[in-house]
Amino acid sequence: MNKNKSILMVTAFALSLGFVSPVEAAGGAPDFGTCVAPKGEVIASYANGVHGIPGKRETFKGSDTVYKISQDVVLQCFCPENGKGIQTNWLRAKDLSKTEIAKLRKQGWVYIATGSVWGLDDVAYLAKNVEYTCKAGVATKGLANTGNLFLLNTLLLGGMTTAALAFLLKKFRK
Amino acid sequence: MKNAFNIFLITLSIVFFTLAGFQVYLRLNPSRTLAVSTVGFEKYRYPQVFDQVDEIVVLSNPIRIQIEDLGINLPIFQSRINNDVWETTDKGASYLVETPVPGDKGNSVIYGHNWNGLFANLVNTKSGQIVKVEYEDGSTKEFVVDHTSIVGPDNSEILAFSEKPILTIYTCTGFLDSQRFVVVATLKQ
Repeated sequence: MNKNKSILMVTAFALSLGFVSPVEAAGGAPDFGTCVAPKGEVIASYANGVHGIPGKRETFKGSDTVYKISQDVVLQCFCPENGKGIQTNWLRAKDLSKTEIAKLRKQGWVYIATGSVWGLDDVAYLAKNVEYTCKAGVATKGLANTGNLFLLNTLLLGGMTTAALAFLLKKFRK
Repeated sequence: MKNAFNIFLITLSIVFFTLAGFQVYLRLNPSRTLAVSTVGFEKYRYPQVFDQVDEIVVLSNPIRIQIEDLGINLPIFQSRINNDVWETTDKGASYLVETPVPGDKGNSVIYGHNWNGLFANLVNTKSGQIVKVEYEDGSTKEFVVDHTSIVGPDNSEILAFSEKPILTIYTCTGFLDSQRFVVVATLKQ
């Protein structure tokens, strides 16, 4: 009896492994990559415009590109003028259990009842924002000194001045 | 005493004129002109250390810039900004490694002295001219000059990020080289 019970438990455990969702299997959300080097198919791209960010009430102005990484995973890369970009990870909630959704919400994910208003499929999504730097401009106070005319003329002036002084000194000494 | 001071002034004058002469030599150095314009670039392609290993690691860094219309054909050397001081070379053009590789998304910056054999002719650049950049892997990309401008030496806005792949090239110009002549080119599709 105990042996049968053990076999049953092992079988149930083995079967359960086959039905583990990607979220549970990965111990959290799947890999979205990063907007610094995004992967996947571009499904929307706007060079400029006003965009909404899930979980934020205000609107943002800048460029926006959306990548479809898989059927359930979408990456949104927003980049404003100041270069402080927002990466939004979108995860389809349709196949997630209530426990999984609750777990992700505790990790800061926002539940979106339908993705249709965001240009995605008309199903529930979970979204999470991550900041990234999207405009890596060069921070410097000025440009390179690529000429030497100022130095050249300064040296010539210095040479002529000292030569003139030497000549005058010699003349007045007489 | 006056005689000693007189000798000091004459010596100082000679030092000034010698240094000025060296600066003139830097601007007009004929051997550099000959070296960068007519000698092949093979010796610059890979660091010598690579001769000693079996496998050459090919990077896609830019190694040469050409603007045929202006007779510019220079090796590119990597450079950095250290405490707001830009590294420069008198052997070719400098590529600021903090900026994207030319052709990648963003604003790539190449600069050089306005001396003979370097970027002296850059000020004659016109819109539509072609800028070729050669890379370590042997590939070449072409850029089309979009516009030129003259800016102050503190105008770092020319280094601003770009959504599109653009190439910014600049050198000194103006009274006592106090300005910067800037060429902005876009990647030829």
